[in-house]
Amino acid sequence: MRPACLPTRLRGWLLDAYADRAGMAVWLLDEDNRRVRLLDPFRPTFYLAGPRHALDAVLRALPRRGCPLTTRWVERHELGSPDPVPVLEVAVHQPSRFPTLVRRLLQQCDQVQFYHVDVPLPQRYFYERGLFPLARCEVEVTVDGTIRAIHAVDSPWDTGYATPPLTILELSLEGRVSNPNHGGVCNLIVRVEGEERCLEGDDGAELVARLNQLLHRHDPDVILTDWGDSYILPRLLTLASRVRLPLALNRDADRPVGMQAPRSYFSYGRILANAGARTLYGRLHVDRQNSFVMAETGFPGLIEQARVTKVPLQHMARTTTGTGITAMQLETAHHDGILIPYRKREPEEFKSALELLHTDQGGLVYAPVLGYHENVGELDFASMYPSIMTRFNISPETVNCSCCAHDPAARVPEIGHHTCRHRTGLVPRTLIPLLSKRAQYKRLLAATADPMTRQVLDQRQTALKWLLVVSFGYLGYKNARFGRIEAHESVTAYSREILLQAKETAEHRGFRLLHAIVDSLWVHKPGATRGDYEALARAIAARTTLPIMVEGIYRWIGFLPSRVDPRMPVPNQFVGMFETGESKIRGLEIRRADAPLIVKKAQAEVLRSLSQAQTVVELRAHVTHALEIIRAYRHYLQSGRASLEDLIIAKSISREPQAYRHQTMTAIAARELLRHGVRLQPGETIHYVMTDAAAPLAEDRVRAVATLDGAWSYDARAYETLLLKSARVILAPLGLNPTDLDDLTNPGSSRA
Amino acid sequence: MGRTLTTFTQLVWQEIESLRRYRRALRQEDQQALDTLFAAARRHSSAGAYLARETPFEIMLLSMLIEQQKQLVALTRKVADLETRVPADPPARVAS
Amino acid sequence: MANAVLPAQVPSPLLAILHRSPLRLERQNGLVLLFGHPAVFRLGLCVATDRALAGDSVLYLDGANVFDPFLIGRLARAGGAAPNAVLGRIHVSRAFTCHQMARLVTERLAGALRTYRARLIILSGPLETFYDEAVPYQEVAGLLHRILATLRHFAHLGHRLLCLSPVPPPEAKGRDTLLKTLSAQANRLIWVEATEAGVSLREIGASAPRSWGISRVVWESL
Repeated sequence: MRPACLPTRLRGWLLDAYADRAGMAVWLLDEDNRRVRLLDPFRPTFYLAGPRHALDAVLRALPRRGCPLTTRWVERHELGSPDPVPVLEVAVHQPSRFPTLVRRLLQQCDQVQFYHVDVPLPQRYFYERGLFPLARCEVEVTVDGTIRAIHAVDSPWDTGYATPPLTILELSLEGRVSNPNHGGVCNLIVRVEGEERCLEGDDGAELVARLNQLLHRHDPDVILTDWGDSYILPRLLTLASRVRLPLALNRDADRPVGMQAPRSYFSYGRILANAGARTLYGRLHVDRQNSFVMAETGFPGLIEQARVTKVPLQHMARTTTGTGITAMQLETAHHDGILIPYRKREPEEFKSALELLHTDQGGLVYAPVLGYHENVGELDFASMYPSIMTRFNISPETVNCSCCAHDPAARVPEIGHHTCRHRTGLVPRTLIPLLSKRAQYKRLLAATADPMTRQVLDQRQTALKWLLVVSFGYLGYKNARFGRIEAHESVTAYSREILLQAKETAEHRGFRLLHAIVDSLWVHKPGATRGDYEALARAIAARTTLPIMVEGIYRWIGFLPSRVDPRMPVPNQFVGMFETGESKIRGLEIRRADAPLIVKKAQAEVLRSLSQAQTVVELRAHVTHALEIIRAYRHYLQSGRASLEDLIIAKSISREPQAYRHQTMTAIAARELLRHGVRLQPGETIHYVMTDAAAPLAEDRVRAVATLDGAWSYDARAYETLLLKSARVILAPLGLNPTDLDDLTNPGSSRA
Repeated sequence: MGRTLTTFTQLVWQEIESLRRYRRALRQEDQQALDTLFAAARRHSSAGAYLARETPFEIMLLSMLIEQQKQLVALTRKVADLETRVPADPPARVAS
Repeated sequence: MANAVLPAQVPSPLLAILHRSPLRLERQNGLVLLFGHPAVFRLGLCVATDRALAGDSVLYLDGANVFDPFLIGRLARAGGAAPNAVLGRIHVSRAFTCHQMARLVTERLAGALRTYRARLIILSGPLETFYDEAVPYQEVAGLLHRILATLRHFAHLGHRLLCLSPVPPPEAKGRDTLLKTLSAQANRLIWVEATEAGVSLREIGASAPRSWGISRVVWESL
């Protein structure tokens, strides 16, 4: 791939960068549409601090043979301390040796503090050179492809950037919806440059040869897969080694395919599974089924996040959003000469149990007023937590600073902390450009009519929204590099104060608070116009100094009861119809990943029928039609015609299949898969159908979809129960009791 | 990183749990009344949490009273409304 | 007859039981390790309340995220004291990683002991953060070593130390030796079990083996 003679100046897009022996390998997609591998003789550094004798011991332990190092004394800052500290800088001449070297030192030297040791090297390289993934760059190179100088000609903060003309090869499995690792056989589908081929797996050598052929002919920049990390790539690689044919997945032929084992992890109280990773060099592999950001925001969102966070695209696709926001904070720190400590060590400051009672609180949530209401306005604070962090300068080093303890304006409401009034903190400095870029996208979105452009803009702003959303959690998260509990507490304290101010402002103007969740309020005043709601938003913004917008005015909105206790309202569970005719639904089956399709379809139809109502009185009139819809679906279920797709229930398993103590349906299906030799990890999603929900023998109750053969039947009664539950939650507040609902929708009943 | 303290809603559940034997011994109709009272306590969880008192049961009682007071006002209004609709009829005649 | 005055002094039957056990921590006990059933956390909170009721300042280092001011509030009230006064005497710091826990003990504890004039230190779940597989075993073992050296130092200075440690969770694979390392440093070991009858405490390795029981009725009235 390396042309014998290169011009001294190249322009193009930065496709990939990774540590190599003599520097960083950099792949450029140049203006002549060539893919060029260059080498930047970059020497990553890390820093050490500690007692003199301990540092001397480290110096002696540094293996210089075969891996040249340069050391020197420099001054750097610890976050939040005004005075610089002397630290020993170690520059590693062979970046590919950096991780092993550091790991060894960490194990050997426990009296030394390490800094800058665990920032991934591509990110370090990007920070130093002012680059980022898919940046447009100008490069000066020598004839042998060594980079003399490289710089980006666009900025990660541009909103109107062009993306490179990437060639994408797609790999997927024929007709596959659920996880192929749970069973079944299927053919490999290859899509590239408008053509689709089906490769059958009967002859392994031929399959590998044909795939190689396609890879050589099209030389794709991106391999986009479904189930590539856990299934397709591992199997292809095993197959290739069995038939002794090299598989040309990598563009960099000297490298093996990168591999990471699957793992489960906790996020926001839920266990999630990561299917591991198969990553490429010089080429990018993205698995749509193993990527949160792809699922939420598509490829444009992934590119947006990689650009602003400077996390390499393949890593960004698979990691958590939190890693992205942390990477941005690391960059801010690096630029300011702040040392990035290895592992967070700062514990909480001692506080009395009485203080803890007040500080350890979340945002305020007001239970909604149950039932359907007319003319309701929803007001949302825009990115409330990030806005609080930037507006009130909340950052680990600014909370309880030594300079502002007696300044009343620095005081955090209710909880006795204060924040710095003199120096802007690391977290706000990281968030300010992010907030402003998202606002810019939203303005562009409002001024754009073309649906394709709108979609990309929306995906990009959503990608930024996610970074902003997690930025708060990462102030308190245990592994957050620059987190601190007091900062976390300050943000929630401000949020409570601000929501109360908003409530008071609304009530002062004659509005009634129907519901509120942390940063959103639903308020009502008889006869209020859009103008009145806009005026309310302005009044709240003026009082709280935070931006708040009217999300919309609902013609009607229903706050729906708990499925367990119908007396109880449930926060963030509603169905509402805006004046514009659009609807907004939260917490219903239709929005839930685990509900069977048939339930979703029925609920969608009921909601479509209700959406024709202009008033609550009209809503009541639509109940009869809603009942007819449910009745028709029950009839369909009872007739035995429902298809597999209609019936599949998808559930995430919260533990190892063996570890379930109760015979829940999920546990039964997971154990069935286990018996079939399927290895499952907590957080993984499994699919099953209810075959005989009340069967005395647990194995008869449900069947895993992956193991279904010709002979199976579903439990219509069990699906009808789900159907009725999904209707009850919507219709109960319109005066329909459960018995009537059952009777009136029963295809066999005389009352219907 | 999870929060340390029990949320107010959980505290209400704990209270209900601690009264399990009491509830069991109540008649069914009284159990329902008790459940309604605790539903009222849960309805004002946000205010209870915001106050952050170490002995939350008093606040639960206040929340129950708030809901009762609201019902009292609503019923009073209804009675007044009915009285204006049925003017000056002697009670004996209404009853017959 | 002497017993007749006891009920007036002790706030609740539970605290009375604690007073008869080594958890009274009145004498120079050094490091007392309460281990076994997760009930150790609740017992630890009872001990903290007991000392705070007596007017002492207490430091509570929470590595298990189990601190419960509501329980303390109830106990304080049962003891006839204003809950706020009792809560004000207990000073808490939470650690969510083993590195934080190590720093808390080795660098922050001395200052806090001075600031709050505290004599009792409770380490709640000091090992819970050490079971995180993301941190290599060697690193974890090094941190624990430094923590224990510091604890020995404070015990030597006459501070009362109470460690609360449930048995390692199944995820702690291969790290159960950490609890052994910790117990090797303890001056008194008390094993805690929960049964149908209630919670039982048994001193291990003492010359005269002793045990104490808390009935289920008393335990559940907390």
